[in-house]
Amino acid sequence: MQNITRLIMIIASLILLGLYFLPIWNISLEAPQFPEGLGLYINISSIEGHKENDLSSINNLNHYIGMKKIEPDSIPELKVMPFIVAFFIAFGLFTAYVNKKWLTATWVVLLLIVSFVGIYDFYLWGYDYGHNLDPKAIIKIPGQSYQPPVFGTKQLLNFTAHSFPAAGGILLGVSLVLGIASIFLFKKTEPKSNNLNLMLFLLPLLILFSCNPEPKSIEFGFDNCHKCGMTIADERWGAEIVTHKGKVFKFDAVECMVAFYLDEKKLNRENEIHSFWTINYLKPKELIDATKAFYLKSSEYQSPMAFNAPSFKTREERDKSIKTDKDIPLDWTSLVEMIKKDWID
Amino acid sequence: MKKSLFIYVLIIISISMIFLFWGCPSSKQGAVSGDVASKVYVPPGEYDEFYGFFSGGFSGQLAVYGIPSGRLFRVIPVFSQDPEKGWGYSEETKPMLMTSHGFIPWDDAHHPELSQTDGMADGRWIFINGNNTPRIARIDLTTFRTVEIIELPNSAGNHSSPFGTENTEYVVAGTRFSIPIPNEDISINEYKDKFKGAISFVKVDNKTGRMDIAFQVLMPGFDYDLARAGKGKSHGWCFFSMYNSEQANTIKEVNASQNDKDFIAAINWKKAEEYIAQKKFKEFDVQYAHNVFNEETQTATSTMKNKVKVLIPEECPGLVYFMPTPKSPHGCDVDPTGEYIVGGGKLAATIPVFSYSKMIKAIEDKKIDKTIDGVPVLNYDAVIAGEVQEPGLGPLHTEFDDQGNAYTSMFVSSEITKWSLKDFKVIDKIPTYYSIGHLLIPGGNTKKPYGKYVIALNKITKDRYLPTGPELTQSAQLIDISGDKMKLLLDFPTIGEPHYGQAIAASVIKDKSLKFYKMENNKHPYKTSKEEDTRIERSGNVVRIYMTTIRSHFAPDNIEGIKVGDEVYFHITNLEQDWDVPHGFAIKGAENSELLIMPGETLTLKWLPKKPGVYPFYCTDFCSALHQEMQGYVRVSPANSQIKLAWNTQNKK
Repeated sequence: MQNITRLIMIIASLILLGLYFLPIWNISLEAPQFPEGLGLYINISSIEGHKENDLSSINNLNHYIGMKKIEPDSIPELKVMPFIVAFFIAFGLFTAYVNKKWLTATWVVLLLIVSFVGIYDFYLWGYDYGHNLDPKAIIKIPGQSYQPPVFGTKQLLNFTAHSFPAAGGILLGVSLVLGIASIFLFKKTEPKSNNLNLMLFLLPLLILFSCNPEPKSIEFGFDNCHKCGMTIADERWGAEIVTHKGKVFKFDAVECMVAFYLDEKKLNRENEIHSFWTINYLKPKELIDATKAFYLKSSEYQSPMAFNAPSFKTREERDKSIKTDKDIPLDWTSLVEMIKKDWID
Repeated sequence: MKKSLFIYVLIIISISMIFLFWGCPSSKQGAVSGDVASKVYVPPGEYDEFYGFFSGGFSGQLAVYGIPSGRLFRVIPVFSQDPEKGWGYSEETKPMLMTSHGFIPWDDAHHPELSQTDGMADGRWIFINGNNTPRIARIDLTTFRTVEIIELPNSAGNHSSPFGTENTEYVVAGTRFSIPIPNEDISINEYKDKFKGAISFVKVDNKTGRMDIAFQVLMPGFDYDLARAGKGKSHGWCFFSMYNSEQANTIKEVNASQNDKDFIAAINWKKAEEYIAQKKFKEFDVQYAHNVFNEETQTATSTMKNKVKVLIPEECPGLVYFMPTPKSPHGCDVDPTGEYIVGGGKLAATIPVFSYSKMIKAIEDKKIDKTIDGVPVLNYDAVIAGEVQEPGLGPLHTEFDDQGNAYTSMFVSSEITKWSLKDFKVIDKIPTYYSIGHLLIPGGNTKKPYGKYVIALNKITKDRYLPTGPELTQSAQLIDISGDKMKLLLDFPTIGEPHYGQAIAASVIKDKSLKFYKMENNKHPYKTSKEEDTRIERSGNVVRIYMTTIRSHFAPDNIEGIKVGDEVYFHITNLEQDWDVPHGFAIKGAENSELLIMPGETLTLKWLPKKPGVYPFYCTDFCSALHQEMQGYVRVSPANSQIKLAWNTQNKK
């Protein structure tokens, strides 16, 4: 058993080598004028664009809002990080050699601290860039700052900014998790089961495959509703079910989709459904997650099958669209119930 | 067992993260669906519903498209030489490109403006500005040819031009760059004190279309951007947007973007006419070219003029008012009723809508915040009718449909926003691909827009078409506005940069289109009426060849006696009198271009032979089955040669 912990620590240390080749964090920017995309990779010792000139393009865009130039040479952290990672690799290998629980724990705690400090540091740089703006900036919007998100997605003027760990960052996470796992394995005495071993390899593959079921855009005026057979014509109405196997069922409105779903449920086949999608009423043709969408039951909106419940991406958009006090705001669950009660039964 | 499961799950999660963050590719934006093809399909042999006139930007030309098909019919040469048509190369058209700076064979054409009668496009002429060497051109819509170009003195960049009044009493011309007036050799740092912006009102003769600079208004040294004349109740006024109220003269992108409000100027041109009648103007010594193409002689003449009447706002109360407008406005558009003036602040977060009636009331009530160089600045709250909230980013330009809606282009967020003139609320948005500048609605600047379509004129295309190296096409996008939601129908490429365009019902123009020039109306001084009259005349080293073309030969087609050092003029008359039978003329070694001669037209190519030898000439426009045989030779002898002029044709033996 002791060999297992040793092996895991060796792996945990060595995968950190990947940080020298793979970006740690990925900031990508989307705007209509940049169909080819625009973004930055934060590497262990540099910041570089997704494409050759992205960094200079981003700096050029930032001058409109008075943001400082991002100059990797002026960021001292980038000079220190390769050494810190080298230290963790060496220390990790030493830990594997000694193979003591307390030392492994120390390694994990130190790496955790360094990771969090790193993320906090990233936040501070982002805060500085986003708030410390030239008072003579060309575009000034009162109260608007341009701090990129540390983790997640944010709208910055016409740009949608995404910030997520990149391959290197994920390796770092994997390394940490392996370290933590190793700590627990020190106490473990029971022999491991072969089934679990198999799972170890199969589950990631399963998750990889589960990435594939994606909604397909509805061809308005062409596709037919899977439930009622009518042509899906109105771009503000429509819905879609995607199964785990990637099969797509299209509907002319949510009521047809829910009816189909309820039928499947009766046949105990609802587990085959991967996701529910519905058309954003305000952005025709845009499919949004139906289970997270906001709905409105209102006779002011005429849906193809007359249940009259437009879908909205955000609560604000839905609330803004309320026209009379007879309108009923709904979420997914209440929508399903209401369709079941009022429209089917 | 439980613990080991936990650990394995941890490990699995960690490895799974790799896949989760891999990301999935996104698909192309702006796909169209349904039966849009039928909405833009014009079957072979059938006509489009509208003519679209799109500026050719830095190509200096004007392009003619069919709407809704997006088919390009013709590129009309305006400010730039065009070898395809011999425009600016033939002796007849060279004077059209003369200016006070000499022969300028290029300009930057931005805004086509159809002539109007009672606030409706009448299809008689279309005007377009030359931004670089300030000019306005008039194009005749029976011949689709440029027939007049007038240069603008005291101007340094003719951008807010040539927007016209509702009966085309005037087309206007505001300068994009302020300069010292009169222009002189002073330090650029004296900008604030010495630089002024001239706005010209160019009178258009209602019958002939002939242009004449009626007067100029000498405005503060700002950058004058776009303009629209009032209509209906606001007829008699003209509105001009302007930026750089900071009066910066360097790094304007930053320094001219500091003030929260710039201005829209309202100029009362009827008042200006009164002041002119009262002789309240100053006469400035200037120099500007006025070039007119004479349809009878088929020849252009360029006249240099040297006086212009200038009104100074300080001395003419009631002539000009400023309306504060957020953040460097571009568009300045008047709705079909003439009541609303919509500003498009490039860097503003809202779209301000001014009220003409409130403006008149504010003037009466003297709601004046301050005065700049004699121009009263009206109180913002006193003139504003409302603001469109959250329209998008970078509002530029607005046009109107026939249902009381406005459509504003959003450069930064690359979309068109439809909003209601009733409550100034946003109704709909549609993305454009990419970075829309101006937009146009057929009749969208008139009293009665046709509506039906809005066309986005885009600056950037990137991945929208097959790539053609670093230089890509600009584009237009046709969007259906007949329903509640805007619907993208068609992308089509455009020439140069389509800054702005206008569209007019084809029925207004198409039946007036000239088919060919009648020989009997051709009063060209070097015309040859029939083949028998073809001849060559020498006067010193000037040789004039009176040549004719008819399917499929030139007369004469063998010419001898031309000497090195001669100045040879081929005066070629196309004797054809039928539709669509032009002939071309090209000769080896010509330093200018070919000629493309319409039926009944006479054109002249100048040729300076440099070396002895025999030179072929031929018809360039495929005219008939024996087009390839339509050719001839010129023999060129040494300068001291004694060879006599001789020529032959098939009729002369």
